[in-house]
Amino acid sequence: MNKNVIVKILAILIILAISLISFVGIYVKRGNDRVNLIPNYQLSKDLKGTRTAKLTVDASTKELVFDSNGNVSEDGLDSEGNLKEGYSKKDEPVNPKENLKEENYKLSKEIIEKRLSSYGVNDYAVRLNNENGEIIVELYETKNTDTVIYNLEYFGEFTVNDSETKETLLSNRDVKSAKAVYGTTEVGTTVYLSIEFNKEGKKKLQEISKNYIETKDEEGKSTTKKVTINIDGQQLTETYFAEENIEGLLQLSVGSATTDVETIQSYLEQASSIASLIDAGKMPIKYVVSSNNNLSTGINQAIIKICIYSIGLIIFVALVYLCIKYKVNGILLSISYVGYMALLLIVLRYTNVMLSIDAICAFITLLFANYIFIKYALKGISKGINKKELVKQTYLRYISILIPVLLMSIVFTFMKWIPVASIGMVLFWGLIVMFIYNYIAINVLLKDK
Amino acid sequence: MKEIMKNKKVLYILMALIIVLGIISIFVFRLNFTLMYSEHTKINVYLGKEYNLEEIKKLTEEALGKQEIIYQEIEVFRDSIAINVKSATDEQIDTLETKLREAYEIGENEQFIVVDTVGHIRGRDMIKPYIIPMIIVTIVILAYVGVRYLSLGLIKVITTLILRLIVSQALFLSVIAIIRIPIGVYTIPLAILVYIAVATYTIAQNENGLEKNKENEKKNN
Repeated sequence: MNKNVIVKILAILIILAISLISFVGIYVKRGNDRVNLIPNYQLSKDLKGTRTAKLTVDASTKELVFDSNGNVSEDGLDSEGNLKEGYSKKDEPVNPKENLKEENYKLSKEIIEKRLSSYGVNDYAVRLNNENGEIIVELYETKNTDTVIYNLEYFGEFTVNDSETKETLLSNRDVKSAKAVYGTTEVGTTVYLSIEFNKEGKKKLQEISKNYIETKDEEGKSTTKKVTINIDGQQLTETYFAEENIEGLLQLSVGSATTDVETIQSYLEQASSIASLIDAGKMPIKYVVSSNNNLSTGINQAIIKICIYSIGLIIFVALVYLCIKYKVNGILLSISYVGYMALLLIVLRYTNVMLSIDAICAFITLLFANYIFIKYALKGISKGINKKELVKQTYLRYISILIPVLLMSIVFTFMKWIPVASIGMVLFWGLIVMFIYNYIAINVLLKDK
Repeated sequence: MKEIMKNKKVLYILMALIIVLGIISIFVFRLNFTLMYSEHTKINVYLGKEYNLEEIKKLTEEALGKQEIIYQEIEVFRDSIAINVKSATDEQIDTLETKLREAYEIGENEQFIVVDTVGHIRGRDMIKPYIIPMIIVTIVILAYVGVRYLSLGLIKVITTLILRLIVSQALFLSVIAIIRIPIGVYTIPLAILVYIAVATYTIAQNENGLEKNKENEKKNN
């Protein structure tokens, strides 16, 4: 048998094997189960389903103690929790009625979106019911999803208070940004919560840093005036200033460790979580998580099936057309076309590309581009152009035309938003596989006229 | 030549008409969103025992009438399900509750249905994550086109590409608005597909232009 024929048969067998591996899998028996050795597709929230949390406006009340002047006081209860003389108490709603308006619901939604972004959630949807303020958050499930969801309950109220009088010295209004940072010395790594203040806040902090210091009287007795730093009324730390703060930057140590990476990571997560709360701003309304479930995909399965069958049918008809028009070469490149689909799907599985509806559209684009590619090659070979020249012509033309798609794939790949990144990754791998695979396919399978 | 120019004119007028109609349609009728992207009613059913999806579908259709219904499994135990519909009256929900109570032998006092009104997803929230990447991509592509097809006339190739990209997206949105195609999870990927198709088609035409120029140069030499 002719050497060329053997090579072609071998190539077709390899393509069939790739197709079988991709579309069916490689199953081995492990215990009582049969396990596919080919990794599963990574599916985005559109295809896999979402973690859905419902946040409802907190309807509870809190007990407030008032002094004789009608001001809220924290000193009105004795050690046993009984009301002191001259004080009164009253149950007040956590969310005053006047706060429950559409404007505040919308602001809360915006703050939730900011928090989700700063928590690194890269595929989410937030829905607001304008009438009752209910917010539904749909997230892509990760190991931190629960933490993220329950952190949405916080008001995010940041205050720096006088430790004795409880007077508020600085608040969210004075903050420009907050982030988690770390510094490494010979002793170990320390994680800080770094809060940068705006122009107004910077001035206030400078004043505070002059007053809240350690002082010594004539007898050498020291007195320290301290501030407390709080989130939602919970004290993070109590501190004083060793020197005047002129930078407008407050760095609070969250924790330090020598070499334990996990501990440092946990401190970083804590600091990032607090920073996100401060950075996103204070919620105008207190929300509570009233339900938190995994929901399967909301895409109509029937539509997906119709789309897959329609695309399959279009590809089939298009390949039959190539087979009829270009005879043997058409049949061979049609087989190689199926191999391209199969190979790309394997590459997408091994490169852990997240598949979304966007990525599927990118995949369809690639199938179309590859069809044009092989059709151009077949047209060339039928005109009598030799393989070497054909490869040169086809590649020169297609690389020039597809460079914008390649540029798009690179830009999109570096984006954090999962659906955008998934388009980029599918296009990137698709083009790489297309150029290499078709080079081999044209050289091995096509025969000169 | 005159015939081509005439055809082109007709095409431009047609495109302008579609875009104007699209704009009017958006302002008058607003855009149409899919069930899951628009405000809808979600009926969460917590049966506490394994359900049969076909049976649930049958009972739901009987109770809520003929309308689009999307079912979502709640968790993985197949004992709770979310039923999404555009709207459902209290009477319809009561009927559904009664039917499910009978079918799954749920006690009279047991509350197993929670109804939520789910807010819509805003169009601008859908587009937001794509804006920066698309701007970057467009700038990069324009730079590439400008450099590669400089000999065809920088302003001509760049303005052609920009115009085609803008007009194609406007046409896409207009067609969606006029035909009332529901906007959903497929819309933005399709818009990107249109973008890629127009960009590559325009570049392919520029490539042809380059080839023609080369051929002409050869002939002249």
